[in-house]
Amino acid sequence: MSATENTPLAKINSVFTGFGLMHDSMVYWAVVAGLALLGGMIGDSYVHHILILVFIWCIVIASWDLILGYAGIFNYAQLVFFTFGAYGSAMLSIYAGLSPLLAIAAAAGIGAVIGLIVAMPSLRLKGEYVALFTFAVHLALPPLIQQGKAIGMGGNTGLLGIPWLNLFGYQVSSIDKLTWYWVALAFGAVCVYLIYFIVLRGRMGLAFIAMRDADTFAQAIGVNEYKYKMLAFVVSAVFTAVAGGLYAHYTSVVTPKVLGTEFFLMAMVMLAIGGMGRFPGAVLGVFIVVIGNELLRSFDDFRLLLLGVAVVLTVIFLPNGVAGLFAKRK
Amino acid sequence: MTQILEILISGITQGAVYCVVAVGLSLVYGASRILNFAHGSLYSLGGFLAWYLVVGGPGIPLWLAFLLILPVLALTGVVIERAVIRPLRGSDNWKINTIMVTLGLAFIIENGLQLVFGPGTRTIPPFVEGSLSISGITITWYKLSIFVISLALVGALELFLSSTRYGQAVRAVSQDMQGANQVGINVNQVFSTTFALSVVLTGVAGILLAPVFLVSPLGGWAPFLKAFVIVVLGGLGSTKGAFVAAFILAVLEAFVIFYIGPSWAMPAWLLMLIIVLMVRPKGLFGVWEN
Amino acid sequence: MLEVEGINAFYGDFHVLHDASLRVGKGELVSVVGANGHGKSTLLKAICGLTPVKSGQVRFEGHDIAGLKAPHLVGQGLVYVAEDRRLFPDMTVLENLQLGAYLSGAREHEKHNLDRVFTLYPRLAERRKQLCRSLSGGEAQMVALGRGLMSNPTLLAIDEPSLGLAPNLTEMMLTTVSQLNKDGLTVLIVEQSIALLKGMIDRVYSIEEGIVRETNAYNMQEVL
Repeated sequence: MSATENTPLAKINSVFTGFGLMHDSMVYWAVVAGLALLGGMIGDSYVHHILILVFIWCIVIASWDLILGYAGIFNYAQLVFFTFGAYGSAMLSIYAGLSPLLAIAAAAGIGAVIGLIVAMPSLRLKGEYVALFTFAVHLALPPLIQQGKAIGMGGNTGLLGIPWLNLFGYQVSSIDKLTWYWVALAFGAVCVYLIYFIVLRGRMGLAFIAMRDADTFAQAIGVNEYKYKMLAFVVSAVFTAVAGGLYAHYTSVVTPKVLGTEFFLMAMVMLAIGGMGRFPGAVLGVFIVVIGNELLRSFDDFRLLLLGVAVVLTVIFLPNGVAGLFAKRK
Repeated sequence: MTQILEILISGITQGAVYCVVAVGLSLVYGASRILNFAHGSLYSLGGFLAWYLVVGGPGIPLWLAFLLILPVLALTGVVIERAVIRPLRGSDNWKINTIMVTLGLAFIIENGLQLVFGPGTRTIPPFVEGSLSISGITITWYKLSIFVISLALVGALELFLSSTRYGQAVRAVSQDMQGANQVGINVNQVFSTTFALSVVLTGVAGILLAPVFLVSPLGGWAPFLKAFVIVVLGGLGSTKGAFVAAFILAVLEAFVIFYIGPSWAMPAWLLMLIIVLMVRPKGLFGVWEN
Repeated sequence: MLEVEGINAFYGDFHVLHDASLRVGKGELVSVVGANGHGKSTLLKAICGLTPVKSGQVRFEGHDIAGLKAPHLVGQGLVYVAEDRRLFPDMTVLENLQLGAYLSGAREHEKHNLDRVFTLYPRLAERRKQLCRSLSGGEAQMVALGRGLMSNPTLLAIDEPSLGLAPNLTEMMLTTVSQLNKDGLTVLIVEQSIALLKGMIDRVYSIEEGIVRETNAYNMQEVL
């Protein structure tokens, strides 16, 4: 206990890089700045589109990594949070006329509530029970969205014509890829920074590591397991819901397809290939998978099968993902 | 009254087949602590193989198809255990890795089926036609026969586990792996065997239910989740518990479908899962979990 | 019968056994004595194929068995009885004993060995239908030892049978071990204190921080 009190928490070094917070932050923002510049240099709007998706995915996967990789909770309801964020933000801006940015903020609130609701039963369970329960929530959601047609969830066709983002009076249309590129990068960079540099290097991250690596020890030194696991759910859900909202306003369409096999598989492959609980593994995983997935477009029929194969092979042969490769070389 | 009885009977016959899926799931979990997320996809695999042999392909009779499919299912189970599960045993994040791998496998099987057979739904004609009527209550011969077959399967499994030396060994592995090692039980072989049996059970259930429900590549998730709820209510590793739980839950499901609507079936199962976990986290007869 | 030469074993990255050697002759009762955490159990488990041996030789009845796994060694007559019993809690006493004779070699002698166990411990015969979960510590230890005997061992390796038992029960357990040895069974036993084994062992080894030394039993008593 005294050790944690005497050590300024911000000084805890990343397990991955081994450097201090300042150093890592500077590297991080330099990379983000580089990506921002890169956006201006890219002329192809299709490439912009792919990278916009990458940035949105980064938020989802970083949030998932927070709960699955760092907190060690086998949560598979991540896309449920995403869906609530997307639908919530879309409906608030369509029906309540909320400006999209406000709607996204409200979606974050919805995410917190949903995170809490999913967390409560989950935290009474252990290990793989959590996995199954949360995945069951994921599977049970599409029929409920069907039922939600009555309250304006659009059923199978989903919601169309979701308002564009409005930045200081400027409408950012889906066609304006370059602006969207910077918007998505800004959202992605801030969220990922908050997750890995603020939350996970703070008291919460420390508690997670203690719980994951030495459960009884963590309890002995007074880490309130229930509280921190609950927080993990809520924080993870909030960020994921923001990503969902962003996605809704970018594509201006949300359908139950966000809960389909493709998205779920993509998310799994990203985390598996990147490596769980080893920043920046998961984020790298997003880049690799989204770009790889685009390169595989020509194999469209086999794409999902290949994604499944990729999950199995990486888990068996590269159990710590790409991040594991780097760690070995160190 | 007649209506309620019919719902009850429909629930009970359905429950017997769910029970087959559930005991398969709990057999593997009991022995190797692996929750096989591909269990439902393997159920679909059984249905599709039968559809191919009986309807889409050579058109052989269903009983012959059964004989051909059983070894294929058993072999599939052994291959999955050897190639995918065993390499992970003893690794750092064993639990999360097996969840990832079996989920990945589920998607491989699903998409493989979709590639080979196309995305649509299929059906197999039942092997017996007609129905039985007793004082106004009607039940098809087919439902009655799958009820009997399912009971026989579950009974046979229970008998195998309780009265044969190899069945004892399976229980021994599930109760104390090192202890099993010490008395000379080949634990890896037991893992393979339970996996093979489990795939056979779920695949057979997939075949039996093909004429009632439809066969589709994604159709395995529902029976998988139902099986899981049954296993949780019955208590992991308890065949008896699964048996009782399957009937309770299937009857409840039948009432939900009749009075509220089929699209509420899955949410209802989820709700039952939550209630079960809240009220009785160890299930009705849970014994294996320490 | 058993010759162990310079074996090394690890627990994770931790080097537990350093070039450990020992020898057990046919019909002997040999003991390894040492304090907790010095590698006694690891030594026994390494010999019996329950923990990997990094280097060194283990010969049993002339065959090199280093690296062979427990299920295989049980069939050859090298049987391990664990300190934490490792019974199957939701099976009956009888089922636990029957599983001791799981392999075909032991199955041939199952009836005879079962009689032997029940004669040795009549209490187990009384409780044959009881689940092991509900047994007392002493009874559980009887089942553990009985299950070992059911495997028809030529060498029985017993890991700290006194663990968690009251002194009178410990004495009773060790008396039966001594009796089994007098009837011709070769035994390698691990204990914390040599005092418990007084008068029944042929030779004794001490183990300290993973280093094994043969010790004169008389000296050993002085040391402790």
